[in-house]
Amino acid sequence: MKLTIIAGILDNRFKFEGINFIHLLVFTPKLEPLQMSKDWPLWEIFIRSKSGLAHKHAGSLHAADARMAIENARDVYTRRMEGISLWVVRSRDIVASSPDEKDILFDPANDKVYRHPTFYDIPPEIGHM
Amino acid sequence: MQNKNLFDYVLRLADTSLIYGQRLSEWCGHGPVLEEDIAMSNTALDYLGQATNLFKYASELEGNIRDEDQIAFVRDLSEYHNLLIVEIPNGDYAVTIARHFLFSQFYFLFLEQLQNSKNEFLSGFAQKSIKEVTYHLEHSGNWVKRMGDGTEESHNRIQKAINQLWEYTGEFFDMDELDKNMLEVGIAVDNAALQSEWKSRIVEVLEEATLLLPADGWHHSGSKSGKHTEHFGFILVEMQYLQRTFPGAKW
Repeated sequence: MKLTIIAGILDNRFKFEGINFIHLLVFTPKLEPLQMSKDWPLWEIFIRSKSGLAHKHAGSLHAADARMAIENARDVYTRRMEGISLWVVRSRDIVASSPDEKDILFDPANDKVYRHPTFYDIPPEIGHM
Repeated sequence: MQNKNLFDYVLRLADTSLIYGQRLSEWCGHGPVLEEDIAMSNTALDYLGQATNLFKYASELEGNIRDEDQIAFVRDLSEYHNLLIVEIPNGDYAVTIARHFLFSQFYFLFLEQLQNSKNEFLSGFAQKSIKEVTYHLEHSGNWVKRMGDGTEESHNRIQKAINQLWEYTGEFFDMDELDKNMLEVGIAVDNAALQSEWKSRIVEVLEEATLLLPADGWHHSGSKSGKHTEHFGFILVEMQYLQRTFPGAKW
């Protein structure tokens, strides 16, 4: 029991650093907080504008549930016709790559021109590809 | 003036929007949470926007002898004809939400009918305004449910608020001489006909919010003849201060 609890604490601390060594030792079920809380969780807001193709991160806000998050996002972030579509995601559900890993994740793509399809002659009738 | 009846009818709508916008804007900077502060301020602006359109039309009907600001801000207490519910104090957030819900449900049904008005301006105004009022109804309804089915404190506060505001809701459905005349020429809405639909929709939300429907009793009225509650004078003092101190002031 004690080992499980310690593993649970460590699990949270090392959440963003890939596979946790402790996971291999002890099975720790993911703990979802079910108790009532006075605090509203934080949500990240993404908006797609009328002419846009992708939802862009606009900011964050607090809300008690998903519907409230949508309404709050509408009130806080679309006052000046910023967009026509909203995505709301609980901040804790967002997993980000670590800045320390920038080199190993992204540098290798830099010097591999053979991955870019830029050596073809596109006939003018085709237009943009 | 060509059509005094139409002018008076438009003024009633304009006054309700103006005074409601004025009341709601008192929340700006004082909201319970940041997101609701912004939401309520937005709502206040929605109503001030409606008021602007209506007062501009009223000014046209009068032959432009007064502009919309003069009509809106420079009248005496008994010349305002807003619904009484929008002039009572905001109270705590439960009172504000309860009022917002009770009023929005009526105003939604009212605008739905006003879209069919033979008056082109009013019909267009209704089509445009119903979008924002639909949102207000959705927003306030959700909050009523959250407060009602929330903690013991929130439940008690929202129940108390609904009980307190109930006696102001009867006025929504009054039809006086002017209303009846305008209804006959196809311009006005039959307020009385909206009552049963309004009540059943209110009941639906209250039930989900585990709240009780107040018993029907005496209802406030009098705004159509310019009678107001004791709170109204204080609103005018703040609202009219600028125009009365610097008459004709412009930005």
